[in-house]
Amino acid sequence: MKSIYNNLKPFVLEQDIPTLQKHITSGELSYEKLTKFYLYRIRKFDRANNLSLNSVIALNPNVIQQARQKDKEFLNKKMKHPIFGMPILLKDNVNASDMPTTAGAVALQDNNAEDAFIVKQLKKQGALILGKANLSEWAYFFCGECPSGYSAIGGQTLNPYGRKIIDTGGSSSGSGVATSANFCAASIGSETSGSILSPASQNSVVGLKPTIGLVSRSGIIPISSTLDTAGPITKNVIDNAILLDAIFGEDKSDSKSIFALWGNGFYVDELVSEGLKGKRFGAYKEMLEKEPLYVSAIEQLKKRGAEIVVIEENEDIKLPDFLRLLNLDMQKDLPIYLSKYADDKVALKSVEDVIDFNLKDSIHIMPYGQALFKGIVADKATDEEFTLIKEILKTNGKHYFDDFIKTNQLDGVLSINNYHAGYAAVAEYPAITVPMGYKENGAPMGLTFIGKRLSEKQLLQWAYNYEQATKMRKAPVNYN
Amino acid sequence: MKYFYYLLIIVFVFSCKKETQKTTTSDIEDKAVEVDSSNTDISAISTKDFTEFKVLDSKYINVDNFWKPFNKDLEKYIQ
Repeated sequence: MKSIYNNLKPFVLEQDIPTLQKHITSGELSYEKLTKFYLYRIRKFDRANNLSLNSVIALNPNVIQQARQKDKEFLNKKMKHPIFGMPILLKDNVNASDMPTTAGAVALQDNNAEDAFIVKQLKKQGALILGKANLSEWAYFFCGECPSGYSAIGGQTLNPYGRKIIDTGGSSSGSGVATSANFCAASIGSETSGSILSPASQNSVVGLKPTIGLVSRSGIIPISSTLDTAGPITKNVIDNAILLDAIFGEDKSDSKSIFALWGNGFYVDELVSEGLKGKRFGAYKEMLEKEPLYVSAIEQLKKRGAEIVVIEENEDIKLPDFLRLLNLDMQKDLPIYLSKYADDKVALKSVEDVIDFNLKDSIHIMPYGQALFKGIVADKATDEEFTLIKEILKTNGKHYFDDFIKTNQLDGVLSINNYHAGYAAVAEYPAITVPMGYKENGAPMGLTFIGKRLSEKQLLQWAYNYEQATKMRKAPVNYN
Repeated sequence: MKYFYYLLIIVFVFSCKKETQKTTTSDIEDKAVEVDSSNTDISAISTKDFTEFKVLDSKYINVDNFWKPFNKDLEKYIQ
């Protein structure tokens, strides 16, 4: 007789959220069974074995009971959104009750904080919080020379397409890895500059970095209130649209929050309705010359009716003081998070406090040092200087894309992985990455669409059309 | 004289050992940081091809405790 796990495999592995909901409606699956399925897989693969990925840092101890409740509510027809009952992993810089929020840092291991705004949004739509995903500690703004996906609390996240060989990307490393390995229905990541796009593309999943302000940052451990955003990481574009639809929304306590009306939301049939015919995209000459997977992806877009304009990197546009922007923002933003959103038991008040805490046991707490944290406290600027840094960066970022877009009447720009994430970050523009194949060593790569402010719906449509035409994602073989 | 040489060797061995420990700790300490305003390495906080890991497994997660709340519920999930 087959085990419960083996019986459920065909109904769950690699299935998109609408299909999972269909199986639940038909009775082949329940929210409780689905939740247990993911828990079982995490236990089987994630830690302390020769396939371990170290992608999950904490689990919600009440999730099975909450899943049973969802099954009851489903029978009472309380499901209103496709995210209902779906087990979601959150990057461990997103506050969620039932578990500590640590950013992977020992200094925050007792930070039992209230739900972040986006977690409240998820719960309002009925989603289940399965647990927390490992990350590059402090969202990779901590140690200088250190690997992606390492945190003191969670250990070293590893890539399921090549453990210890292929970089996981980061800082949302656990979110990318766990989603790819089918440890959750979908996950939340966060990005300052490339931290969603990089791990999503490195792990062959879809990652969307939204326009700054579309998704609230309240209750998320910050790097930079100028550039930070949360965003969805999923196995496919449909799920990405569903998750984005569940989390976006105006938050009055977030200074950059945008009130956006999106009609029927992101996820409905609109994804399919608009094709690629007549869409004009800029493709980088330098990438076309060097990357065969990019060339194939461009050919696929052409076949679907897209028009491609070859553009050249504008090397005259620089991003001066980019690192200083992060330094100066974090000096202010971390103390705000600690006083407003952290557990009262957390005695730390500033970056300096964290540095001092880490010195108590440096070998265990910070094996790769804390060079970037030291850089934060060493940096000084007047308010005027800081405002100027931000203005120049934003102007240059927008200039970088807008020049191409205006001159060539483009709808969007095509990149690879997180290669242009820095420019998109300072321009505050959205971007989505979709699997576009694998290098000879098996490392996944993503085709990245970058659009103008609030072009998320178009990005999802383009990405969906490309995904359906190519179906490039292959689940990692050792984790089936 | 023979005992003097033994003593010298012992002193030498201990002093070497102490030196090694010192190096290990100082590796972790970062050197003085200067703010580099010309740094435009914007990929620095998302991707680094890094395959030499100092630590793999978490020293802070106890796998048995991690699974305690779920053991009973997952009993039937034998493969």
